Amino acid sequence: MVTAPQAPAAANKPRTAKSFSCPSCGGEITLRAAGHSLNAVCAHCGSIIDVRDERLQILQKANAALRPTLLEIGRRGKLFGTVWEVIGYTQKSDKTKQYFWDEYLIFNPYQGFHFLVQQDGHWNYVKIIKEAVAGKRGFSAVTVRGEDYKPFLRDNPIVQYVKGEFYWRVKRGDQARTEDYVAPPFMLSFEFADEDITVSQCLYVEPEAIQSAFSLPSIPRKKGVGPNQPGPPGAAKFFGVMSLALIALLVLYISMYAASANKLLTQFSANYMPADRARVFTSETLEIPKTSNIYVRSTASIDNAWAELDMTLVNDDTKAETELQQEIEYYHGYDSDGAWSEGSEVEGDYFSNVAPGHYHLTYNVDSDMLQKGFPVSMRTEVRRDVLPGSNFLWSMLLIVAIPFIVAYRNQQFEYQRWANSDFPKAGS
Amino acid sequence: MLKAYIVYCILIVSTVAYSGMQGYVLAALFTGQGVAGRAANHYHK
Repeated sequence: MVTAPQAPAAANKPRTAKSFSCPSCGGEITLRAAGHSLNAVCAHCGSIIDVRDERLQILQKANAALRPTLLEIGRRGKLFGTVWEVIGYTQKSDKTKQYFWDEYLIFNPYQGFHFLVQQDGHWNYVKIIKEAVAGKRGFSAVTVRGEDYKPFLRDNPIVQYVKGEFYWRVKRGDQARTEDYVAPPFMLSFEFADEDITVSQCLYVEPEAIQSAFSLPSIPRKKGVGPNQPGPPGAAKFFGVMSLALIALLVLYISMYAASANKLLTQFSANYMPADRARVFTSETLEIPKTSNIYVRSTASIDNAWAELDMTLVNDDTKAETELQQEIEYYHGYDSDGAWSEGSEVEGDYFSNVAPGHYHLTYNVDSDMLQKGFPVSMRTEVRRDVLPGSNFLWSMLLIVAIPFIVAYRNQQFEYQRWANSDFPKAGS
Repeated sequence: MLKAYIVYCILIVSTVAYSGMQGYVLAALFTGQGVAGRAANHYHK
C-alpha cells in the first residue's frame, strides 16, 4: 500500500501537520500547512480536494497519472538560512504550451510560503511582496525597492499539473495573466486574476545552491540564459583596468626609451656579383659593455625579389655563436585594383640578451637576383641597446584583446537573455 | 574574472619591463631567432 510521504527528522517537523483520508481513493493525505492550505492533491490518486470543506469535496477528479518531480512533496532543505519543506507543486506552461516550468510551493511555519521556480535548469527563489508598485503604467519599466525593472514578457500561463497542497484553490487548466520584469538577479512577476494583482519578487539562485540545499544527487544543467540570470562582470571594469595597464605600459616605454643607449656600433656596405663564389662579410669587432640586444638593419637593392642573410654573431671571448636569419622581400606591380607593393628593401632584426664582451658579425648573402645574374648591393647598420617597439605593440594587443572579448561575450549573453522576451534585441 | 585580468595585465607589464632590461625581443622567444642558446628558425627558398 502506498502511503503519504513520511515526515523527515523530528527536529524539523512542523507542528501543523494533519492527516485525513482521500474521499476518492481512501488513501491517507497529510497536510503540512494545515490551517493555511485550501486544497490538496491526493498523493495516491491525484484528485484535488477542498480541505476547508468538512465534507472534503473533490474539486477535480484525477485525470493525470501522478508523476515524480525533482523536489518531491515533503522534501526539506535549508535555503537562505531557513528550513523549507516542499508542500506543493504545479507545472505550468505558456499559452502556446511550448514552454513549461515547475513551481514548487515551499513552507516554513515561521516564514510562511515561498516558491522555487525552475525552467530550463534556471532557479528562482520567489516571495510575494505586498507593497504597492508605484508608477506602474502599462507594460513599462517600474522601480521596486530601489531596483529598476525592465519589462520582459507578458503571458497567460496555464496550470498543467498539480501535486501537494496549496493555500489557494488551484486546479489543472487554471489560467492567469502575467507580466514579468527583470533587473538581474531579480525579477518581478505580476499575476492578474479577476480583481487581484499578486506581485512576486524572484531572486535568481544557482542550481548548485538548490542541489546542496535539498541534498539532491544531481540537478539538470542550465540551458540558455535565464531571464534574470546575472550576467558576467561588466566590460566597463575591464576597460578601466585596460586603461591603467596601457598608461603603465606607456610610462614604461617612455622611461625605457630614454634609458636605452641606441648606440651605433658599425655600418658597412658591400656589393655582391653573381660570379662571386663567396658572398660572405665579416664585421669589425663589436664591443658590448652591458647585457643588451644588438639590432641589425639591412637594406638590399632588390626589385621584385628576395634576399636572405644568414647571420652569425660570434663571441670572440667564448667563441659562442648565435644565429639569425634575415629575410628581405620586396615585390610590387599593378593589377585591376591599381598599384600594389609588398614587403620592403629594408629589414631590421635583433640578437636578444647579448652578454657583455667582444663580438664580430658574419653573414652570407643569397638572393634570387644573384641567381638570375643581377648584382645586389647591401648596406648594414649595427646598433646595441635598442628598445624593441614590437614588445610594446604585442603587449598592448594582449592587454586590449581581453576587454573586447568580455564585451562581446556580454553582448551575446544579453542577446540570449532577451531572445525569449517580448523585446528581443536586434542581431541576436 | 576581473581579478584574473588584473594579474594578467601585471604579468604582461612586468614581462615587458624585464625583457627591456635584458634586451629581449619577446617575439624572438617563440621563434628562437637571435636568442643565444636557441636554434635559429631556418628555412630555405
